[in-house]
Amino acid sequence: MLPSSLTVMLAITILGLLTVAAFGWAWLKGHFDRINQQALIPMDDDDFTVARPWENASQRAQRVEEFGPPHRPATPGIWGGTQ
Amino acid sequence: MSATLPSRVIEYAKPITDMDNLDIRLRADASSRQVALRAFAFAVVWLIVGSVFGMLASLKLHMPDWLVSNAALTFGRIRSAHLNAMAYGWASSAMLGVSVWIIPRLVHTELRVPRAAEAGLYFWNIGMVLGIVGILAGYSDGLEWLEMPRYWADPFFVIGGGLVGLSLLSTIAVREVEHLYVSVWYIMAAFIWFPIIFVVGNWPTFSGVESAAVNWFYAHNALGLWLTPVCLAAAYYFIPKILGRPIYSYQLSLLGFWTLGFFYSLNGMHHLIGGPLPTWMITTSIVASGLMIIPVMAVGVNQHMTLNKRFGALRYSPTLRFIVFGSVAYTLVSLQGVFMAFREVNRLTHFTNVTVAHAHLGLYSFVTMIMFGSIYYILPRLLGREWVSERLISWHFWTVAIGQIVYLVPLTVAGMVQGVAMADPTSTWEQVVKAMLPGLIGRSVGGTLLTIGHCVFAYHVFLMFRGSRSRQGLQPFHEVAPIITRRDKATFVARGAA
Repeated sequence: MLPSSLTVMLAITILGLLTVAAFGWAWLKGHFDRINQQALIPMDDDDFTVARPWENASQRAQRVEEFGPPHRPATPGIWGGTQ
Repeated sequence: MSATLPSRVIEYAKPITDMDNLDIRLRADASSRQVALRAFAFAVVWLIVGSVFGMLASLKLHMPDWLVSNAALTFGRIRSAHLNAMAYGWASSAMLGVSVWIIPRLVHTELRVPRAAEAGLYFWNIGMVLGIVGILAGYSDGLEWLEMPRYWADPFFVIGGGLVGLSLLSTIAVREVEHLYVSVWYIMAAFIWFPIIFVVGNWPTFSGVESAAVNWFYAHNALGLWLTPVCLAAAYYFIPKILGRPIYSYQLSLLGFWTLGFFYSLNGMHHLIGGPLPTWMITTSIVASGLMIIPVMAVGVNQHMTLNKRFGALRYSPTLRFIVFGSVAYTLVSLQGVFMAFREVNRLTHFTNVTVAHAHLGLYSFVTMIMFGSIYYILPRLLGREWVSERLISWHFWTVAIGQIVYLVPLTVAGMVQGVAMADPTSTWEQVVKAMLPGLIGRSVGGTLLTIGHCVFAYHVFLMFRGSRSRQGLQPFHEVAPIITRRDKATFVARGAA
């Protein structure tokens, strides 16, 4: 039973232990703290303040309320690909 | 200037107010520029090469007497060359480019040792050339997803991947932000997981049943612990960026990442249901496959809720269109995979074209579509110019989107018919093959559409690299403007003065 599965068992164990170790390290280093703020890491100021033409009136009002009026209108290609 | 622009194009004329913020991005992009551009160039070349191999292999399934006089063009070699060119040439090269571009942006620092990353990219692609030539010459290792000759090609992948990984991990180590965004977790993990599974999968001492077990440990994890994490990282980066709102639930995104890490490596053995392996091993794998519902639903719900009530953005952003398509495909392929892991379902689908369709739903509809979307976003920012043609992007999207449906639906149905026919002891093999034939032809039609889409994309990328003049009248968006400034300061000053 073991010879056919030993390698896979060992490899899976190593991967599992690595993940457990990484999880513990992340916990100790505070990577699970201030979760909601972490969601903002990829966002830059202009990600919030460039007008989104697809948003409806209430979504625009919400954006203005949260981030202020748009600094600039959308430009072609800013969303990835020229449209 | 605005008079020369289409009415729906709004001129960018205001000064950049968040220069520090923008400067971080520009520095990050500049540091990864050479590596990412080369990675995308290599990727597109492999996309075309792999598509040609794929077309040949598909046509041979219903034209079996075509191109059989040359051994290099026989189905066994062409099919393996297709898989390897797509998985390691196209998808992996594109992923290396996306990774080296995203990480510096997310950790707010420049890419470290970019020359190592660049050298790694060359090593990787030398390995690809040697590997594909080796397969066509008949030196396949004969292992699924590991056909490239072990001693010719694999050292180049180890060195190449290691050098790119070194560059990325050292960049993360000196990061300017305290926390690691979920995309960084995914990419970092992929560059740690992949070397482990690759070395184990290629270890030359296995034979018999153990070889099969190790092979499927590798093959399944290559999708789940290499291709999947980088593509999810890209989706978690681009969806919030484009929509201008953070991900719906960051907790869910972390849950998805950690449960993928904990459960996925156990999954591979479900490919060997019915094989001569210990029952507990297969059952453990089936249970782990069922548990994959947790990360899959975490990702699916999170991305859907982020996009909720903002689907209009798909009209404005080709990147989002490709990435949302890929994200939906991720949910579908993962749920399909969960069900295919159950013994009752597997009994019908094993050794049939359902598995082939499933693999394409994963590697194409999920991975490839997200890579297309990522490149549409990244390339203008690296080259400092806008995509040449809206129409070409539209043609690309619709040919590959329709092509996938034409490819996947008939092939899945044909696979089910095949499974039922093979389970019927009164069916002859000839009857099974004839029952599959419409699905195999549908696959070739779908594959043709995909190849046309790839040629459109490759041509468009070529125009971008060459620097087409047709878009010079358009003012590029503000992230690109400073890059142009540096290259052509006089023009910028003139514009600013105006």
